[in-house]
Amino acid sequence: MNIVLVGGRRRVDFLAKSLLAKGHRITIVHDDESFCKFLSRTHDATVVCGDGSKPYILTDANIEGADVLIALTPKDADNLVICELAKKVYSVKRAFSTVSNPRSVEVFKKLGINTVISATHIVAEIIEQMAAINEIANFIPLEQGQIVLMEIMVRANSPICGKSIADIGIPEQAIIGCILRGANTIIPRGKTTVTAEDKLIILSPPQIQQEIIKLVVGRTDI
Amino acid sequence: MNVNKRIVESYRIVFGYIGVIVMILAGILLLPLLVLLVYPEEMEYAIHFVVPAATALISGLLLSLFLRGQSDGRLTQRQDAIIVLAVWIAAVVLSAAPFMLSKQLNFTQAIFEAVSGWTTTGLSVVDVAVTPKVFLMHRSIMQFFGGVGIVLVMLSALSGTYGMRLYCAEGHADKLLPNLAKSARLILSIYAGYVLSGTLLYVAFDMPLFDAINHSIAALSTGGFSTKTDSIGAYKSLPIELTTIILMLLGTTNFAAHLLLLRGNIKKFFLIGEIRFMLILLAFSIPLVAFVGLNDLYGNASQGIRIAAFEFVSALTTTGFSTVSYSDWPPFAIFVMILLMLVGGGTGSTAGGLKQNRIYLMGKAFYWNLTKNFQPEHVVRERYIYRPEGRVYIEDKQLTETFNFAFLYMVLYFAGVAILLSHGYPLQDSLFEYASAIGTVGLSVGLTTADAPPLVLWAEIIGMFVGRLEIYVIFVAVIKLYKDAKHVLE
Repeated sequence: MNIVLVGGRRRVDFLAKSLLAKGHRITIVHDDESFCKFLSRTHDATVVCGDGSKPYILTDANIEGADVLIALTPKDADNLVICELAKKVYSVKRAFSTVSNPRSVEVFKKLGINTVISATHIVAEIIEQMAAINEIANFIPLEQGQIVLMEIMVRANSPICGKSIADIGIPEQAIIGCILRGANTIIPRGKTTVTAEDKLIILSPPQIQQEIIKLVVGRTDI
Repeated sequence: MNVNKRIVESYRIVFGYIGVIVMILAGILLLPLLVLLVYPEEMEYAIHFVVPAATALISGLLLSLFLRGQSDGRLTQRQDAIIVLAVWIAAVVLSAAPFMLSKQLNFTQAIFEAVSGWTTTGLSVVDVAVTPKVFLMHRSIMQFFGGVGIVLVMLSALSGTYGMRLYCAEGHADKLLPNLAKSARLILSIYAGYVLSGTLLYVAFDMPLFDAINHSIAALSTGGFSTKTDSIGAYKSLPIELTTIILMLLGTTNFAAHLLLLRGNIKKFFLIGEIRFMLILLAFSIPLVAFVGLNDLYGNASQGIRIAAFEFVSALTTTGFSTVSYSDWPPFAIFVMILLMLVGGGTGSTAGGLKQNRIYLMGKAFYWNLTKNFQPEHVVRERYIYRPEGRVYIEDKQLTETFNFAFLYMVLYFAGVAILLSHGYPLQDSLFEYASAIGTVGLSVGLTTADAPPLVLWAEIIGMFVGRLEIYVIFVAVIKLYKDAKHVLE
């Protein structure tokens, strides 16, 4: 794929490395000349020095028709402009943006940039969940939070401990995808019994998340 | 009339350094006398070496007295260039003395021979068939030390505060180890080790020991003084020619690259741009000229390739050994030889010429400039080449220096050619002979002889000298001297 990265410091360095390793063609636009030199020395990518929110720089960087553009500049407004330009002027297929202020996510969505990643937002959500219930070992929102993946620990006092999957009565929209028992991973069937110290990997929409936590842990708060 | 004390004071340390090196030169002058142990019948010539050596020792000792109490003395800007230039001139004059004292050569010829030796050129005005062995050894020893550089020899013994500046001023490109004195010693031992193995190989292929030592030194130092009138061609032996080719290629390789090779890092060695450039250049030119130019001359292709391989390696490495005469060579073959001599050897080696690294860099720069047209205007592209130490990023400043050097080199080359032409030599011979002199190669089409006009010999002397010390240091030293001389009487 043809991928354009605009702005960012450590993130662009890291992203470029991992994307290049996967065999993508990378163009990096950055406005700090000495950082551009550094990038050019460390990555086998086309590095263009200039302000990515200026159309003449984007034209110069030849981003027309690129597959993906990722805006990583520290200013949300710049990122918005870059994504808008990329999609509407340069017909870039997909434009991603990171935002530093979680409130900007709404603005971006209203203006048609759906692929917004707010690190603060994501981290806040994870912290919220983990802090609330210490049985939740992991929590990953997928597809902008349309579905969440949880890793929940089963204690001996859990209401489902000792029951088989069929007896638990999991809601229709959710599924227990996997049971981690010590070093083993078990793909659960109806007859599989849940025992203490199992870890359940559960996929569900966020609406019934609380219901599932109540079902497995027995409570929804500490 | 006021004498500027500060400038006079600053030259004390310069004289001191020169004194130390002149004392080392005295030792070098005495080395050929070791030959007398084996050939005692040449004892009568010993005095011609002892007199200049004693003079050097005494004057060196007196000069080095300037260093006393000067431990906090400062070498001002660019005085390193003056030291290097001065010791090279001292080396040449002292080494010319034995030839003059023994009445074998006149002043111009003796200086020519010494410059040719110290600059590892190999053009010669002596008749090796009648010259005593001790003098032949003297020529080889000049090439041995001229190859690594006299300043480096001093640094291997004592490095001092200004070692690095002197080291750079003499044109050494790389520091092999963090410690300068250790670097210098390492270079000397790599070099001496190769000379020793070269001698053993030659002896193994039935070359007399005395000739073997001389040829091994001359090949490794890319000098090219031979003890035979017909040079390596006198032996008519394929193994000896192959050994010589290998020694010449080793001699023209950067010492830092040698270190990679000796440490078994073959992959990194062949990654070096300069090495690749040299191999490709030889791989193209040898078969091309062998088939196009020399096929008719030597009857069959294999003979043509054998001769072309030897002569071209000799020219490119700026050694100057030969196996045949060029008098009947077609112009095309001569032309390729001239080009190879102008390109010259590797940076940081014992060879001369424009240096392969510079040519390689200039070629790359052309390619970089060309590709720039097809890239975004604001693109940032860091360009690099491979050197023994790994990737080296090229700044515009280096490119400017390289192009400047190449321009200056060609100007001096054509100036020298013009002087030869003005004496009525043919264009082809003049181009060949002066490329040979300025590149410190030493191949000759017969223009350089003992009875050549003095002006021609002096033009070649300057060419060889400038070619060995890489031009800039001489300009810098002369300008610095002129400036200081102007200010000293204010």
